[in-house]
Amino acid sequence: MIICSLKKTIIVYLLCCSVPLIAQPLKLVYENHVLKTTEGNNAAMNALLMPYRVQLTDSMHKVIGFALSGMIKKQPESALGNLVADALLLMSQKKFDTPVDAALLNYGSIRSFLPKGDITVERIYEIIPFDNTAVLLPITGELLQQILNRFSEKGGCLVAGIRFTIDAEKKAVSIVIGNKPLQPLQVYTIVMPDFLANGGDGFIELRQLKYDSKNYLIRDALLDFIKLQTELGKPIDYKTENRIIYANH
Amino acid sequence: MLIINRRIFLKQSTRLASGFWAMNKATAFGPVTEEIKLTILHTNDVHGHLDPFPNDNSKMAGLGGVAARAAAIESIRSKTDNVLLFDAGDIFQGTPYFNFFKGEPDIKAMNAMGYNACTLGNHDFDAGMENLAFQLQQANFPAIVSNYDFTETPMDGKTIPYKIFHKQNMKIGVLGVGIELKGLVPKELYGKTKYLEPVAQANKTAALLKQQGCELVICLSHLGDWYYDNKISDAILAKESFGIDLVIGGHTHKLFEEPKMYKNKKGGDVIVHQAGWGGTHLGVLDYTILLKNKKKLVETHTVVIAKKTSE
Repeated sequence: MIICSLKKTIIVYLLCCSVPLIAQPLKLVYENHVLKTTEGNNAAMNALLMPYRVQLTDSMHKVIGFALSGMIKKQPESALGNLVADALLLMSQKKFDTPVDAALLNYGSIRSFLPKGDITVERIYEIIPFDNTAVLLPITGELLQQILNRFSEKGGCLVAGIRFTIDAEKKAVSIVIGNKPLQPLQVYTIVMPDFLANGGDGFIELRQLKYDSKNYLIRDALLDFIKLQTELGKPIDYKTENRIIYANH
Repeated sequence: MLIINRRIFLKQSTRLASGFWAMNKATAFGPVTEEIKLTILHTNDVHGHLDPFPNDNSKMAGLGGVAARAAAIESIRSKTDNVLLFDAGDIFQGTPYFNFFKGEPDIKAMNAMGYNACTLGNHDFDAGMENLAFQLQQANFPAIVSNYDFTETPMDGKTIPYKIFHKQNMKIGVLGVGIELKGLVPKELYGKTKYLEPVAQANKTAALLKQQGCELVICLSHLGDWYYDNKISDAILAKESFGIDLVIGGHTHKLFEEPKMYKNKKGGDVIVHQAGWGGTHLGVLDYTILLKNKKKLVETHTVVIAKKTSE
């Protein structure tokens, strides 16, 4: 078998070679070299990195605020989720210098918890490890209803400026935005991670919409919000407050 | 007769390929004028992973880091003469190093490792064009992009469309293609950058490199290896190309088990390879090239691929 195909290849080869200027063969031997520190650790490179590592460690261990109680992530709503959504809403209003009706984030935006006590920069990086940025989108009430329905199917999301109930059919009902019932034809300004606006988590319909970006990281919004509270002499004190509830059924 | 005798010795497919090669040299092609060994090393989508991945039981735990990469590169360079080292973009963004230092240690580390060139990824724009331009000024290696027009931006004049490297008696032409930034990078980060259709630019540049006598043409690409829809990718580029021999890919974070091979418009072989992401692997491509008739311009190549066996 192998010899047959070999012969065939050689014939093809010879044919190719009889035509001038066509082929000059290359032999290629490949390897995906796995890089393990145990198999090689360049001293000069470690020396080069050292000052950056030291500075990074110092910056990451810096205390920027104080949490009055421990906060975890939970569905449909959590204290930590409310903190992140509020931070995004307030800080993006400042950054974009425009009123924003609500903040929406997917549940997967936050990955860790905030323990009671000093808040370090490193802790915020653990809560938001991704470099997603805040983007502003004009969204109709009708589309917002669809988006919240989708989030309801997933068990909830992170919101600020919006309250709603997830009914037995996993649909979003009794939606209140800016203390008023959702109006299907009204256009709302919503801040969300670029991840969602680019169609992430299955939100393909959002890809059609034009958004505004200031390249402002969601994580930076949370860091800035906590620093701002600290400057104002306020500790971080968040609880659940029925922003999203499951309907009794 | 020769083939049958060889059969006894050729047990593995990899050995088969090298046996085939040895025979070609002797029979099909007549006497060899010059055989050049060229080693291409490559990374892509390192994303600021200067340190190894943390030991958290994940698949990548303990892998990567510039100290391990530098050691591997040093070891390879000590064993062979003709080495070229490339990166296919997205050097920046992904660890706190980038958030705090904006790519400075990344470029310094690449300088120390002796990178020969890189192309640009979409995330290399993440701290803005002024920053990218500033960081590239500190680089000892060029950023090669053939399909971005940076006129009237801070990046104007900070990249080159191609470069020719001389190794032994051989010229290796390198070009680069970047992905469409619109929809992928916030507008204010790429500003007036014009994205030019990559296939046309790549073919034009490759033709120029062949004209200038390059025996091997390499394209550093941040297009991504392949997509479900018809979005331009390395697979499409390879098939639509004329004079490109090797595409070193990125963007899609794929660790190819083996290089992929496509036929270009002229029926020649185009190799596409990608080395994962986060700097956990170094792609090693050892080429053996026969320079037979140097007066004649070689348009396309046929390639015999084999996996490296442990020494």
